[in-house]
Amino acid sequence: MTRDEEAYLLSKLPDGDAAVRSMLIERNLRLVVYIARKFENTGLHIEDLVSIGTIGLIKAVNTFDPAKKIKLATYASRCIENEILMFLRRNNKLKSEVSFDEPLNVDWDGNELLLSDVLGTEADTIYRNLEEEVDKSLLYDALDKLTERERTIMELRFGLGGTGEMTQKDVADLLGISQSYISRLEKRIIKRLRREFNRMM
Amino acid sequence: MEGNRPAWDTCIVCTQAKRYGLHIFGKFVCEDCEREMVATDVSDPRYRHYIECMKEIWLAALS
Repeated sequence: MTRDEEAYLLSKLPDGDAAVRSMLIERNLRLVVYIARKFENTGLHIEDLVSIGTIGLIKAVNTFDPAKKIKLATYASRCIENEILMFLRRNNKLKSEVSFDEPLNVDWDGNELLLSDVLGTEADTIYRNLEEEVDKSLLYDALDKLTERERTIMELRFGLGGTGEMTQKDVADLLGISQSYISRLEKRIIKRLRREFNRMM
Repeated sequence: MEGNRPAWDTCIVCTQAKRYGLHIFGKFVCEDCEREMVATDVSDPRYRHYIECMKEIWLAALS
């Protein structure tokens, strides 16, 4: 079907003409098969998936609004996928674990749409956590360069071992040294850590 | 001839002879069944039946 033919059929679509809808459904059935294939690993037979997708396609053609600036194929893909997902979800056929990097969809140009691309979070949340992980690992590397006593002070003061933070006074009492000495040590250690950190970055 | 009115055809869903509906790759889905099908929830037992019926369309498309 040429672009002009499709444009003509789409202009006729709001009349609800069955022949027009039939033609648009026929022409987009290939899309159903294409999308259904992506759900083959769910344990459903491909014929079932195509049937469910076909129902999704019929819904798409019935509800498509040519006035909205979106291609029928794009809209239909969403409806077909929705129909299959809804069926899988209701029938508990979906895997309970998914990967952030699992491709949900591959468009005609071969671009993958990842789960992490569509999660309802701020755009940089996932990467922000990743950066924190890197920072944390750098910090632990830097801590390894300290003497045991210096490391103990840092761990106690900032709760690095998973225990809560302690005040300078508490750490001083625990180690049997004065608070002012802890304060001086702390400043010196942080300076060293910063140096180590910068070297590693 | 019956003027512009479409001919009777057998619906693949309800197996009844109807006039109006979709003809997809030669398979006929009457307008009543279509209307019911798109309004049926995926967990409804009738949905299973619709899935079976829709297979005829794909088989017809393949042949």
